[in-house]
Amino acid sequence: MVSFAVGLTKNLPDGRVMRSFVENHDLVIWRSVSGQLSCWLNRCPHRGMRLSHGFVRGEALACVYHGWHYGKDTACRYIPAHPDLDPPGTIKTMAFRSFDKGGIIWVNIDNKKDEPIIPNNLLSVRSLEFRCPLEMVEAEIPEFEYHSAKKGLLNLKIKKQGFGKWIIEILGQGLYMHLFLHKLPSQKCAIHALSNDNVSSEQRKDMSRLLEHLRYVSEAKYKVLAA
Amino acid sequence: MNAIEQAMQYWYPIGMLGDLQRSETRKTRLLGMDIELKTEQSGLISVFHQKKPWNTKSAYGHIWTSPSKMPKPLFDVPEAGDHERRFVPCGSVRVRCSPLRAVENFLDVAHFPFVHTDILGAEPHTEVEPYSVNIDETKDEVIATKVKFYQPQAAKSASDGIVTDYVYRVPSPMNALLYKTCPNRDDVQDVIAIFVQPLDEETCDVWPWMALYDDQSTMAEMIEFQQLIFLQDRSVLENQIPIKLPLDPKMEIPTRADLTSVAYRRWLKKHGAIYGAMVSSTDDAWVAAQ
Repeated sequence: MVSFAVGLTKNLPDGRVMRSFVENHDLVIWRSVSGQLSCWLNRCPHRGMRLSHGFVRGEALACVYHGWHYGKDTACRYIPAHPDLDPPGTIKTMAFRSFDKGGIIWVNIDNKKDEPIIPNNLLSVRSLEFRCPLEMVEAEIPEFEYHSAKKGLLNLKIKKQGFGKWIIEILGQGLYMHLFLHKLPSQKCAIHALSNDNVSSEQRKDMSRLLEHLRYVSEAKYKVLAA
Repeated sequence: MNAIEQAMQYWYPIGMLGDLQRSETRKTRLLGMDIELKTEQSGLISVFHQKKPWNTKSAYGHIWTSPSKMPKPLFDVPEAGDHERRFVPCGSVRVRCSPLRAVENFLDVAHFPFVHTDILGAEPHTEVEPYSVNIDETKDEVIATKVKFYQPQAAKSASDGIVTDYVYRVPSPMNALLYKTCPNRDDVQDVIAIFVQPLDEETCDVWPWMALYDDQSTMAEMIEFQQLIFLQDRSVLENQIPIKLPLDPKMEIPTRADLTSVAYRRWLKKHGAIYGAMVSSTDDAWVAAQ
């Protein structure tokens, strides 16, 4: 099974927690204060609370309900209701393989080694959530047209590069965008976008607007279909 | 008897007495059934499901109803007859969780420092000391006693942090009461209850009710305090997986601080009170969450 892009590395700083989904698994993804990334099933084994509501304390993630601390090895380290107790080793969360590569956070739910091929010199553009299914966006991308306010209709060269990955080249500007599509529950999806690194801030804004337009068109078509 | 038949034997709150208007019909839901709460011009209150009348009664600031022709008697709250107390119905809070999860959360003190930070608890005062839990055989109630917890602001009327003593009572599956140290008086205890209206197995309206010795705070202040506490609880209750309360001991891991919850779950199981519960770890919703 391939690795899934679940977010941009820059959007999860040290000491922060986020929620994500892969193949309907509800996940908590967090980075310890020293920068170590972890991805677990989003559920505290104690009372079922979503760990994505929790908080990072040093190298542990604490559940917001009763403050149980889990270390990077998934084991429960500390139960505040019993400060002197050494928690039994059986209390632990369920981990999935996760790693940063090329500015993207990747999750591999089979825990098998799979290194996505991605250039190392890409720049993060942004992550965008779409209120329409991933298939809707995949159908839209090859047809996609964009009129830039300043430059008029852009000459786009669009190609699919494997599972959930598209490259949009803006011809004549030396711009490449790498789009990683991410399926979410409830008929939603996200795009995590990067670009080549020699771009101006004006060009980044342009790419961001292009993505917003893609979202606008995809959501509008989905609304018509759903109605 | 299946889950819903078992649940139909009890009384449930469906409205606050002080809140009803004359010549008014309200629609609500109970145990997945649509019902109408009708107040006549004369003040007479009745409840209908599919045009058939259900039993009603007024007690503890609320209107109660039951789908059963012969419901089990409503539990007794002796403190409701003590006219030195102020009785405070707090309105309802809609929560997308099992009614049983709402009750279990009410019985828990270990979450105070994390969910009700600087009000009902604060780090580093997180320890839950050993306490006692038993079943009162004559009343068939779960009782927890000698529960102690340090609280920065135990009630609206509290000015300093105190170690609060608690006693908990669960007289029926979806109702619970606690008796706690009154910040102003050593000789009496405040009573706080939650009465839970199960709309269905995964949604409930929670009706907190209090009987307090507090001659300083206004009604609005006391209600506001309790609403704040319950809204904090809701943020947890709507994020527990699975939504239903798991009764199979393999599904969640309790510690000594959870003795009340453990006794509550066993007692529910013994009575077949499984409306809003997940009984087995082979349940599809549980397997999907793994």
